[in-house]
Amino acid sequence: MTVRASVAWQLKAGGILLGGAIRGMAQYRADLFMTMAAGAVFQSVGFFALWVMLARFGEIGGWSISDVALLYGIRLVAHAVWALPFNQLRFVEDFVQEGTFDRFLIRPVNPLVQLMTSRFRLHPLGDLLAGLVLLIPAMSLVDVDWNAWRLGFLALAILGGGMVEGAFQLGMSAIAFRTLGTRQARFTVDSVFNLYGNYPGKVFGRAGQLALTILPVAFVAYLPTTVLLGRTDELGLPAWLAYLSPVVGALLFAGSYAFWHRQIRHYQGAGS
Amino acid sequence: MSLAGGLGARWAFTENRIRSVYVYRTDILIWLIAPAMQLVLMAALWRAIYNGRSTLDGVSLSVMTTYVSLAAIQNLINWDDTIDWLTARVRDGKIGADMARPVGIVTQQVCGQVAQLIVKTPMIVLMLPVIFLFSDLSAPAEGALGWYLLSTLVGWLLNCCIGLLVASVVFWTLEMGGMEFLYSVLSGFLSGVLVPLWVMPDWLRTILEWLPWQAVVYTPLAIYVGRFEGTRVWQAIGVQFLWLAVIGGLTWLVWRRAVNRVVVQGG
Repeated sequence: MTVRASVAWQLKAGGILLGGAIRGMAQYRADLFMTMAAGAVFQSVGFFALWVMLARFGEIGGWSISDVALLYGIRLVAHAVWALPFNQLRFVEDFVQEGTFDRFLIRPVNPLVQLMTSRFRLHPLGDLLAGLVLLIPAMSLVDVDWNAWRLGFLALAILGGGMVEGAFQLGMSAIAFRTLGTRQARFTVDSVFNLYGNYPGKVFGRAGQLALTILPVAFVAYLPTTVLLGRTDELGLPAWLAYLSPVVGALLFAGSYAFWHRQIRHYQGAGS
Repeated sequence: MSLAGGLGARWAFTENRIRSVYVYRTDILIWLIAPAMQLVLMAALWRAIYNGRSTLDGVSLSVMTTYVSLAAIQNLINWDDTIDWLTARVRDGKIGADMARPVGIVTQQVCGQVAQLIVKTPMIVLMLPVIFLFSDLSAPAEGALGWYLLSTLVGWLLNCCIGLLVASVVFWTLEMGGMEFLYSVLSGFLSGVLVPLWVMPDWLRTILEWLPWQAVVYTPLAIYVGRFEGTRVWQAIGVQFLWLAVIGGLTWLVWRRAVNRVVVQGG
C-alpha cells in the first residue's frame, strides 16, 4: 500500500470525498433535520433538568446556573468538535465485519480520512447548536473579563476537549480491528462523558473528582472552566494541570492516532 | 380459538420472546449501565444541592435520594423495545408473517412487553448495590407500599399503551429516523424521572400534570415517598386509570386502522 504522504493531498482528497458524502446525505432532508433536532433536544434536556433544580435551590457546589451553563456549553461544543468530523468511527466495526474496509486500504488516501468521509451525518450539528445556545449567553452572564488571552484559552480548551473525547473514541474504534465488537464499550464511554463531563467535578465529592480527572473526563470542560472562572482553588490539584488541559487533549489524541495506525495492521478481510 | 388454547398460545409466544430477549445478554447489562450511571449522577447532584443541609423546602435529602433510586428502577421496568422492534419488523416486511399468526398483532406486542418485564424485574436486584453505595432507599411511607405497587402496575400498563401508540407511527412513516430516541429522552423528563414535579416551577408543573407521562413514573414515586397522602392517593390512581382508558382506547383505534396500511414489499 502506498499512501501519498503530503498533508495537502490528503486534505484535497478528503474534501472531494466529503463533497460526495454531503451530496449523498442531502437526498434525505427530512431525516437530516429530525436527527439534528434529536441531538439538540437530547443534549438540552439534561441542562434543562439542572436549570429546574437550580431555579428552585440557587446553586450547586458554589456554582450558579450561568457558571454551569458555561461548563455545559464548552463540553457540548467540544463534543461537536470531535463528533462532526469523526462520527463515522462508530461504523468501523461494520466495515470490518462486512470486509468492506478493504477498499479503504487499496486507495491512495489515508484510511482514516476515507472512513471519516464515507458518510456525512448531521446529528452532531444538533450538539453544536445546543452547545452554542448555552455557551454564548453564559459567556455574557458569568463574571469573567473576556480579554484576548481568555478567549484564546477558551478556543484552545474547546479544541483540546474535543481531542480528549476523540482520542477515546479513536482508540476504541481501533480495537475493532482485532476483536470486532466494541459497540457496548463505546456507548458506555460516551455516556460517561455525557453524564459526568457536564457538571462541576466538585459535585461528585473528592473521590469522584479525582476519578474524573484521571479518566480524564474532567479535562474536557471542568478543568478549563475553573481556569476561566478563576476557581482552580476548588480542584485540590495543582492549578497548572487545569491550565494544561488543551495540551492533554493534543497528547492523548496523538497517542491514540499512533495506536490506531498500529492496530490497522491487524485488520483481516472478512472474506466475501 | 378456545380461551385455554388462546392463553396457551399467548404464553408460548411470551416464552419465545423471553428466550429472544435472553439471547442478547450483553444488551441486558447495557440496560443496567445507563440507569445506574444516571442514578449515581442524580444522587450526586441532589447531595451537592443540599450541601450538608438535611432538609430543603421541607423535603429531606433521604426522600430525594429515595426518589432518585426508585426513578431508576421504574425507568428500568418501563424501558422496552416495542418501538425498535416494530420499526425493524415493518421495514423488513416480517410484520406480514407476524400478522398471519393465530395470535393478534397487538396481543403479540403485549406478550413482548410482558416478556421484557419478566426478564427485567429480577435485574432490579443488580441495581441494589449501586443504590446503597451511591444513593439511598428508605422504607415506603406508612401504608403506602400496596398503593405504590398498584400504581406501578397501572403506570406500567399505561406506558405499554403509550409505547404502542408511538410505535404505530411507523405504519405511516415506515421510518422513525431518530424519533424514537427523541421520544425516550423527552418522556424521561415528562414522566418525572429526572426531576420530581414538586421541584418544578408552577407553570411547568401545571403543563406536566395535564400530560399522561407523569402517571407513569411520578405518581407511584410520589405515593412511595409520601408526597401523596390520604385521598390524594386515591385521586392520583384514579387519574392513572383515566389515562389508561383514554390512551388504551386510542391505541386500540389507531392499531385497528394501522394494520390496514401494511404493505409488505417483496418477501
